[in-house]
Amino acid sequence: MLSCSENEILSTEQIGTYASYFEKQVLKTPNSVAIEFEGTQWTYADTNSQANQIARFLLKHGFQHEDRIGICMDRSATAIITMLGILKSGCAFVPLDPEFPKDRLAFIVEDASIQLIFCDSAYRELYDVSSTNAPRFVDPLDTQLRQHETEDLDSAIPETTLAYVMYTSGSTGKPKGVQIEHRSLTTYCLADIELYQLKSDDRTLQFSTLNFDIAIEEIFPPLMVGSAVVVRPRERAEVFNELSHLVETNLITALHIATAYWNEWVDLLVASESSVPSSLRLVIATGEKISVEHYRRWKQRCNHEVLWCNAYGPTETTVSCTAFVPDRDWDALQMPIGKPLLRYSAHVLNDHNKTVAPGETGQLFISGPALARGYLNRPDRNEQAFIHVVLDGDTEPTRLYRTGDLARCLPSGDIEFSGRVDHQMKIGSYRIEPGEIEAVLSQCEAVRESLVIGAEREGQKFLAAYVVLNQVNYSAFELASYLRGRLPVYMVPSRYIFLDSLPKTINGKIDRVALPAAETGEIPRENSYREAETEFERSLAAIWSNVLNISCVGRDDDFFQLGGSSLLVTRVIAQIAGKLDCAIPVRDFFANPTIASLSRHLASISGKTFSEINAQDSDSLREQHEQSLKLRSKLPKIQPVSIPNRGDTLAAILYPAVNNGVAHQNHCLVICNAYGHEHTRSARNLQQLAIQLSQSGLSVLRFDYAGTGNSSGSNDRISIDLWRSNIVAAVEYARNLACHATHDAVQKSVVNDSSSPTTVSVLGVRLGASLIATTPLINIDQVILWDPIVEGDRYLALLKQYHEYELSSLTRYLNHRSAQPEQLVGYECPNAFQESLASIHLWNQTKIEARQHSILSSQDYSELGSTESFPLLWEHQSCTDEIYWDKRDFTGRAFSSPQLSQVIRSILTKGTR
Amino acid sequence: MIETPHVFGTYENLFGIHCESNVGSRNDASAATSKTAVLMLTAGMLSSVGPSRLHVELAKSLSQRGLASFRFDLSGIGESLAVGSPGSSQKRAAREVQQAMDLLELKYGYDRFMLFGLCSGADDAIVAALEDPRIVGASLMDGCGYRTNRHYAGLLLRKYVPKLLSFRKWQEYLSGLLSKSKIASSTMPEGLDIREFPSQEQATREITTLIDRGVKLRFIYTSGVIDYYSYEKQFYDMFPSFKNRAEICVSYHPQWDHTVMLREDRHQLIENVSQWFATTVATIESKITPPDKRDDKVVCSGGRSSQASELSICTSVYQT
Repeated sequence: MLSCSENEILSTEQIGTYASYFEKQVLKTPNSVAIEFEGTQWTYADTNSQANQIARFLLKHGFQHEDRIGICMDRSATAIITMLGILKSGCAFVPLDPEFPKDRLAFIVEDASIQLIFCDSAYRELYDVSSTNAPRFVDPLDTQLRQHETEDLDSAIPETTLAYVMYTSGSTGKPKGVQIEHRSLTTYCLADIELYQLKSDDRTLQFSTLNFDIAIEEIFPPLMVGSAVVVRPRERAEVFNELSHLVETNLITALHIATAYWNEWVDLLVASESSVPSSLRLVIATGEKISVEHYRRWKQRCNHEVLWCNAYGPTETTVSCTAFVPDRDWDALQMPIGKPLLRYSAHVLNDHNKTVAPGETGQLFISGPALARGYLNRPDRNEQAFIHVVLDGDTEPTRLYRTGDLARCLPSGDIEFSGRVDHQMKIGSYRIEPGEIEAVLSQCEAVRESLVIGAEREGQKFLAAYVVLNQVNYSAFELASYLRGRLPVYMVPSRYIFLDSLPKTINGKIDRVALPAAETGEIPRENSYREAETEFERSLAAIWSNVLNISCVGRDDDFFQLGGSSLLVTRVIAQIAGKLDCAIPVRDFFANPTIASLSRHLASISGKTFSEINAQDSDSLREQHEQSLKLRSKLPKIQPVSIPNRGDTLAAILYPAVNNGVAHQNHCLVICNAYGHEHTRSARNLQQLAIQLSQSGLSVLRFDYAGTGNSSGSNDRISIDLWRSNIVAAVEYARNLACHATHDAVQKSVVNDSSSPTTVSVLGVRLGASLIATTPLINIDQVILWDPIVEGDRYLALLKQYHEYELSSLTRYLNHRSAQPEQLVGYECPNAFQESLASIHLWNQTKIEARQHSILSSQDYSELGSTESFPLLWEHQSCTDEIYWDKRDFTGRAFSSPQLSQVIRSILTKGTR
Repeated sequence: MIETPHVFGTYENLFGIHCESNVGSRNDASAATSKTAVLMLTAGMLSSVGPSRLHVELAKSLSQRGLASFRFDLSGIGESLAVGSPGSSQKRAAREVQQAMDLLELKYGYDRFMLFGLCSGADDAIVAALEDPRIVGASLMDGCGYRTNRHYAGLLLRKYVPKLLSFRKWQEYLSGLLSKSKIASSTMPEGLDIREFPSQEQATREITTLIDRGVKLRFIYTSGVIDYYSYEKQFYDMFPSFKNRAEICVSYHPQWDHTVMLREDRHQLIENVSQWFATTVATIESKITPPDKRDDKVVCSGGRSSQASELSICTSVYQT
């Protein structure tokens, strides 16, 4: 047994809650910097005040001790403050990684019974908000949170209260939630402070994502000693060695880092012949077995005194339970995982739970007050993993955690890791249960049998899946796509080996030795995927990759389908001009949205010759034609539609679902435009949205109000009542369309049930949103209002202000102009119409009766305070897209709203019944 | 007025709207059998509706004057879908104009076309007319221009002096300096697009080719392009060889802006342009031998086979 007597005594003491330690520290150093993020500092007093507001918000809304609260946020000061606030309230936080697939997030939310999620607005679309049990979402930047008192709470929290739940890979196909109590968190923090000698002048980098153990050690111990947590900025530095740059520019003294990342960093230091940044005094590598070779290189690059540690610990023991600190002369073939931390005990036991002799290998068990309470809702797993054993020399049983790691005790008292009992592995410091991946694979109808292993090629670890199919042609790409929808990206194998059957031993077990080499497996690629062929295409693809932040761009990929926006087009054009010395008009890019077509276009207009391409060559022309056909086939077959209403003919365009027979074909969205210059500004964005939605399987109907766009109608009789009537007519048309789609699907046997429901959704932008909300529409399933006009008089005043500016500013005209009345910024606006606009008071006139209604707001719209009056019952999502409806300099500019479009797609595709 | 939308083109990706003529409103003899339609080309990145519905109102005015029209979106703009088209954007526009003409010829029997182009639409119209002999006239608003010595003086006097004397401009400038760095917009900045003017010599050659072919051209300039066009007679200082060519009409409207935002300016423009189209078409059609009596075939610059036509008369009513 490897436990010192001091540890045994301390394990019975009262340790206290994390919140109590933090509050004591606030009293000691109220004006010291607690958090630093992107140039802004939060003192301990600031941090504590804001955390108190969050705690009070939770308590005011009826949340109680141990209620689980989700956190789905990027790294930021606000995220840390939110964690602290939840802890102070007695609730427990549950990190929800926005990179997780929606299914996994949904499972965690359900498993942890999460009723409220502090969520960056961009991530709300990851959650199904249509179910009755859907959690509430709170934007952590919501000004309402700041209305609560900032004083510490009086109520005491027992130290055995749950502090957080961290989900890890589970072998049964579902992740399991590890429950950590305040007592455990505090125990770990105290041990961390003791071993790493944390001081008030330390500056610890917060580098890890929040659902990773390392984030706990980056955030919580430093805040117990009055030191600063420096959060990694969102903007990635374009430097060769980003981590060194971060450490140097932020004067970081303490760094906790996943072993895989530390290896990469050491390689970069060696490659650039640079030294370990001089500000660093502490480096803790954790998560995987340390490469001794890297440690040797590290020492060569380290010119000053740095406390370097190799820490080990499963999540179930609260971050770390042992650590090895090599002395100056340490050198060996393997690096041990060290000795137990303060208040932790480690035991190497045999199969009968008896301590093995020193040097003998056994299974490693951990005990002490830092052990997790257990897995949430998994009594069977708790029984297996947390056991009570009467250890040698004891009379009372001790609670132990079975790590599943094999280990042995060295004569020095250090523990050496010897492998796994099972097949659990770590890749990129992520703990992965291959059984979980296999379990998900087994749910795929095409898969009869599978085995997932970890492999390594040229020093890079990767996952490989051996798959036996049910006589169905299923590609690696399809399998990877299937898994991506259900597992985190790091759990999706990168190689697939298809076999007729898995090799078995005479005992019937899988013969792993007989498996073909993993690196021979198929890489998942879309069947139609084609890599860039010429050097020029590769250069273009590199520019797209850079602008879109996508690692792999094929030559047939459509820029806009990859998430490109008008703004990004300008960036691409700027880079093409800078790097490839070609200037092209924006409209050329819009007409040539793939690598292949843009490359041909640039070749054909360039004065220079791209020798690989000759646009006049007949083969090239044929290929170009085929490419255009292919590109066209992915786009909707747009249909002009005429909708009669009150003597006018409304011009409309229907974007039918691209693939017949897909799930949403009986779901039709009607888009209601903004008015005047705002409509012109949003037109392209809405057209792109319509295309994308039709590719997702929805039908989309866009139409012009009477007297606007291509619709007929006299300018002098336009009115908002007439336009409301137009909306009703368009919705009716869409309803019939959706019904016909259902009927057709039944005819084609795509849908079995003729009563299959149809869905009609309505999206309105600006005035369109306000018109929808004030129109008594019936039988509407979903309503989405985008930056609605709340007070008509303010809106009208704004239009008049813009109009006056255009006439008098000497920007549009050479001299000041006077103008005929009843027109605003280029559009007809009869007096009666102006009066009806001014009479809009949105929330007093709302007549919506829809199953689901949402309001979306752009960043500038939210900042103007328009969102403050939103009704509480409406789902509100705020995005970081900037449109500037209220800035006159932008009246002539089209805009892109990739994030809002993404949210809209998410709401609509989830909302289909 | 009857309007019919169409989806057309090689890849069924282009969108346009045909507006029938109100035949009864034309009093010339050829009106009933008119084979001429006006095509409105995409203005910059704006949809077929045009700036402030200019194209819709122009279509209405043309219809009332007995002329059919077709307004459409180039690929990747408005409702037309991008399918990848190499070559210069003007050549691509010319190809798509041809596809529109093919549609109209097939569906409605038009075999002559007049073009209306604003901004890049004007640039595209010249290239399209060079490529296809079916095009017999074009009204080009704020098309190509080349700075002359006199232009610089005009620019200073008309644009910069009033601004220098404007208190409001100074206010804006100073507040702009203070607030500039605060906005990082996701909107698309104006003025990023590239106009594709040929060299002055090439422009001279191209226009010469067209008018030698009998194509009628009406150039309209506004203060919206004061950076390269700033006084009434600048066109003839740019292209002195066209001074006595009756096929060309030019007008300069310093009170108008580039997109004719004000209703009164727009109506004036529409009135002028539609009347020019109506008069020019009537003149052309009155001079053309009925189709069944034509027998000479010539090959024009675009390489397309076409019936010969004698088009040498220009109405210079609106020439300034």
